[in-house]
Amino acid sequence: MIRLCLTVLLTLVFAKNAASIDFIDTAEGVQQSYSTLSAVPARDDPGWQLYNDILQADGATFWVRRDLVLELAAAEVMHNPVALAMRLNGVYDFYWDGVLIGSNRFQGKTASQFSRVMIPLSGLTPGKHTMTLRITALGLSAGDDLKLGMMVASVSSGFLGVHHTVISTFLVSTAAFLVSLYLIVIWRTSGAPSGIGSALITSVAAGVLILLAQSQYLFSYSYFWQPVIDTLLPIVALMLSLTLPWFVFTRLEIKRRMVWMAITPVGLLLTLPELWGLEHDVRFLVLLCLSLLALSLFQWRSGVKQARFFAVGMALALVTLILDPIDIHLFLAFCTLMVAVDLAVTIRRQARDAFDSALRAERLKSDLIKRNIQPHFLMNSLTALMEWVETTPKTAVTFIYRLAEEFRLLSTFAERDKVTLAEEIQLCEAHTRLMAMRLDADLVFETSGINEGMNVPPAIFHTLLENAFSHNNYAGRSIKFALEVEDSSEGTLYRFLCPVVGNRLSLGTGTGTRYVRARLAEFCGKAFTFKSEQVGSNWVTTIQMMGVR
Amino acid sequence: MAYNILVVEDEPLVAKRILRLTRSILGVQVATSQHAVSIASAEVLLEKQDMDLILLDLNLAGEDGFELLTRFTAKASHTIVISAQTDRAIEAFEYGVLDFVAKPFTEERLGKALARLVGDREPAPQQVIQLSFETRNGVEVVPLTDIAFFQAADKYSEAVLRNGDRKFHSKSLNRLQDILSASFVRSHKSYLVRCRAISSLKSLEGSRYEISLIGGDQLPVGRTRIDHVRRVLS
Repeated sequence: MIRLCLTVLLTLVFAKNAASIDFIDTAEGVQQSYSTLSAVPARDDPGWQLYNDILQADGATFWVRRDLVLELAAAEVMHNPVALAMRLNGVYDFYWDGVLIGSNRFQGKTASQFSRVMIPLSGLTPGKHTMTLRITALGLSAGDDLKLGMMVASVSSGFLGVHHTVISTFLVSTAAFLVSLYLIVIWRTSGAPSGIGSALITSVAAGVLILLAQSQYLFSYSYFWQPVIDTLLPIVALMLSLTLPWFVFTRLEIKRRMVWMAITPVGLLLTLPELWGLEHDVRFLVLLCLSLLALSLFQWRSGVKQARFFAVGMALALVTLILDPIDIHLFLAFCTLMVAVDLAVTIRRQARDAFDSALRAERLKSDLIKRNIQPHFLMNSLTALMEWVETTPKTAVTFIYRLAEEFRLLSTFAERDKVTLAEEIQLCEAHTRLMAMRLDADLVFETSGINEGMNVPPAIFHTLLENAFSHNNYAGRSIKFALEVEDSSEGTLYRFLCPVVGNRLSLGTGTGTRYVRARLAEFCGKAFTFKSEQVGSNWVTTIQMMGVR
Repeated sequence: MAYNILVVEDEPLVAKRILRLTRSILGVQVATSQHAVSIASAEVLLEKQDMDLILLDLNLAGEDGFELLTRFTAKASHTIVISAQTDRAIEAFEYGVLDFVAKPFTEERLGKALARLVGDREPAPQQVIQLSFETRNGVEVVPLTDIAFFQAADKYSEAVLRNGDRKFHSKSLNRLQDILSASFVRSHKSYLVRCRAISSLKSLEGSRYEISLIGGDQLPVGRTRIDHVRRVLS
């Protein structure tokens, strides 16, 4: 708390000192001279002309002069020197009233755009002063913008003495690198969701791009590195302009992505002409966002899940470009967040789907176990067994043997998500034999076209058979069940027929059918059809498993 | 007394067991015992012959258990449910079945259920809450609290509702008394009255008694039943 109070106090003190100073330009304005003299050219030197901020020759050295009038408020006395914040592409010597008081040339030879020059207290007398700069535009070419700027440092500092560009650069680049780290963690922990590579490159490129573009504001590096940075900048920018659309294409499930990637070179060419005074990179990014927005809207109409997210995202990205067309920090930050959010949401959905799928699988297993001990089947079997034990014990023994046979098969099915058709038929035959005893009926389970090695979900035909017993009274009758299998180029077709006794038509709508559908979905996703209907005197269930042979 | 018994059960072996054990328990008290595998065949048998007891499975192939329950408890006969669906036991008692026997069952357990038929009753574990009435359109279920009293109508009975409506019930007053004794009192050979519907008991000239109902109806009280009525009302 004490530190906070001190900080606030110091801020107020410095803010007060800065606010009382006022530099006023004279009518002469800022002058420049490409004189080759090593000393400050005389005021009447014919080389002086109005400054235009554009370099006239490659790497030229030239002079800039500016007259200022220092005004102090009434009864104000200066107690501290004044720091000036200098912004310039190039190295400079700074003269105040003809005296060299600062330089970024000799003191470390930095290329920092935001260097500072301290005007000594002795030079801060009210009245007219002359500020002269000897600028050497190392690494710059004729026609380049020098971006010369100067102001009292306390005024140029946006927040607690720190320039706003430094703050936004720090925040945005940190966000970009944190997103990169997050994506690496996702990659390592959640496998490799589609688009993770391009998302990672996009976020790293955004962070690097920001640091490179703002390096002059942030670091005190030798001017030797400036041409290197200037070369790296377009390379990183190009990388970002390739990976961002690639990521979006991947997430939008675009089929011919390589063809669509022509959007980048075509966009770069189309945006070469000047438009609305915008930089080339901003023009390109606007075109890129518009193209991706249109594509997202099209995919949205086609039912692609992610498309709505990207349509909204690209619209917002356009807004960020409008809000911050100079630094494009907001745009870069938004894009990195967009890829991270998209992947995070996808991974969360995948995790939820996986959890649901596991839960469904467990539920199906428990359904199968419950099927073993369902009251109607088990209690009626036990009642029948009691009767045989009391009347014909030998029959009871046979029944117990058959009951054990069915339970044994069902228990081996419980933990599996597929069984062979031979095993499934074995289970159906065991159930048929058991029910034949219980119902005192002549029951037959016939099969045709069977490939015994074929895999099917466990107990689906057994469930359909049970359904038939639950909905029909076969007691004392002669009944034939049939399972017909046909192979085709599209997959395998199963037809299960059971005779209808009575006029109940509700077969195929209950829990048994739901179990069969759920098992089929678990086994082959959506690649199946299921139809259950009465055809003549039979209830026919037709299952087609596409691509499963 | 000899009873006509109908077993409604689709599993032949279970039906065989019920019939065998019933005959063994009731012996000569079984006048006839028959077996139906479906509602349709049960209805045919009930058309032909009055039954005293229906032993009913709630899980007949393709039939709805709730429909079976409401349909058969509306019949003149008493109903004992024999089912594997033990989760429906409370519901069955609420509809006025004599007993609910869970499958698989022993002779002792079935004997206990049949004892309720012959009069050696233990109180039912759950009070009757509603009654099913056979109507022209099928079966109508009426909450017991809507009924003021039952009046004998030959070998059947007629329910007089609190709103004055009258509904015909296939059960005799004696059979209704068997299942409703917890909340109704037999005040007269021709009347079975809901206890909570009675407002007062009056003594009339000539050692006659009369009960007044909340709705304003006056019903006679049998001389031999006055003590029982007094005991119930107190």
